[in-house]
Amino acid sequence: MNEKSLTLARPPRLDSIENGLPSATSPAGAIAVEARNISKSYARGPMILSGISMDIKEGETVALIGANGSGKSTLLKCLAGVHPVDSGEVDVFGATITAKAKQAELSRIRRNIGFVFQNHGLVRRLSVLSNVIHGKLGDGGSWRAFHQAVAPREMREEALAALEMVGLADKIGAQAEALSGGQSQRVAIARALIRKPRLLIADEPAASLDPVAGNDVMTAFVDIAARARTTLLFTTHDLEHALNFASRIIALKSGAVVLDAPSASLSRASFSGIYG
Amino acid sequence: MNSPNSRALPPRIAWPGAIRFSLFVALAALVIASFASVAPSPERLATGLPRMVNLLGRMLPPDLDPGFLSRISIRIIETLAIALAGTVVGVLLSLPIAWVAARGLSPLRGLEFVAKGVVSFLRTVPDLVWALIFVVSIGLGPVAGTMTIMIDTIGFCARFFAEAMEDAEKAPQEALRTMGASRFAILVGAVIPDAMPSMINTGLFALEKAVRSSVVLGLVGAGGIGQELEVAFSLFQYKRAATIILAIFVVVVVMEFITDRLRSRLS
Repeated sequence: MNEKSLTLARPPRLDSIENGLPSATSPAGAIAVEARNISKSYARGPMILSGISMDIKEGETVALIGANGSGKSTLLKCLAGVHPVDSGEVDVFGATITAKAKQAELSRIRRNIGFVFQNHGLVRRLSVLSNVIHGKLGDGGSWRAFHQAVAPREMREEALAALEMVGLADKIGAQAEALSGGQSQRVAIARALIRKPRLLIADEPAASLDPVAGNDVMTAFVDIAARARTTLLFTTHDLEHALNFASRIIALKSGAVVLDAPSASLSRASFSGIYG
Repeated sequence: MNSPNSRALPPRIAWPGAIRFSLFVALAALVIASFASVAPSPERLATGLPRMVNLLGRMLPPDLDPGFLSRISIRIIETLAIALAGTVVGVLLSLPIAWVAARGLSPLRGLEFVAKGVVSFLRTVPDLVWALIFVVSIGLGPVAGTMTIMIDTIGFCARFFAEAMEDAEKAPQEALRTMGASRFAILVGAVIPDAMPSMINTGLFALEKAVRSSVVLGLVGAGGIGQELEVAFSLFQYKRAATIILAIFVVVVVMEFITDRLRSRLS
């Protein structure tokens, strides 16, 4: 396959959506996430991240690229406070995550973050509606979010709005296991959106999808994040996605940042040393 | 290219090492010794078989007296009530115990083995022994039977529920954990929905098992149809015993049919 055939034109925005989910916003240019000299390794294993420092401003759309094992997914999880760092600090909207952060503090910080997994992470035996409502489980006092049947009316309406944003309102009652890969990923995005996140993190959101479905998901993803004025950070192996959908690209190699530049200033040739 | 040595075929039979071979020999000796001590001898079979034929002759035809049939119908209903109540309460109590016992999900980390040990204990003590304990402590009757079925169901279900919870898909759990969901929220939101078909299956097996158990619990005074059977044999009323055995057979077969149908519909 040549380079030209890999290039996918960015489809038009989803203009049919009217009922966007508002998100809390800060003044433009404020720092959303900042990593200061963070390092991470897993039990007795090699260093996955080595002294990474970076910051992402609110409203930016950042693609994180790198070869398998370069530390992309680990970096995302450290930034979201899912994995504690060995050293260094992570600031998320001004709140600092340290290695000794307590669970309650991490939960409070994570309320600002929506996380979309490569494998979607849906409960296959539950309905689309229940899965989207699950996005509220991390909020304080939202124990009723474990199933749509017991969720409050406002929560169900928010879930419907999130599904409208990803164009899947007609699948609200379907079982998650009956969805296609692209639809599942959109439901996972809706589940992240219902949290009204200020930062949306996605780990290879289009990895398990065919090129057309992957492009559709990325388009919807970036479009919704832009409309809700949400900061977006995603990892990808697809350089076209990085160039077309991100305003900035950060490349990792062996756990260190080797490239950090606006995507407009980059081309495929810029990435020649990253996967070597 | 492969070297000539790498193409050599493996032996047809992997011969066991010295320790494994010794264990095989010890096991074979144990089986032979068991047969020698408890298997029926030809002489005993020769004298016992005619007696059994004679007993069968005295059991036929079964007693179909309407008054007696009405009495055993009530006892059958009591038996089913013991099985159903004991199973439902046992299944409900199995859920929190299984959660505590499930590795990686337990809210009481470090106590998983304690919970599993308790469940093993409940399972390994036979139901007739539990029935004797409850008959002595609570008294004769169906309440002792219900308690026995409940304990037996916990021993059976808590183990399989815990395993089903441990085998539940991990990706949704990780997703909910990332959102800051509590352990309980992850349990009810992701683990139980995924484990539900397996848990329903286990619950239906437990009900089937409970019906069979509740039939014999009456032999030690824990209520149900078994109590009638015990009385019939004690009073040499073999025709009545035959009627009770046939009734038990029908109940067990119908229950197995129903649970089989439910299982196949759910799967």
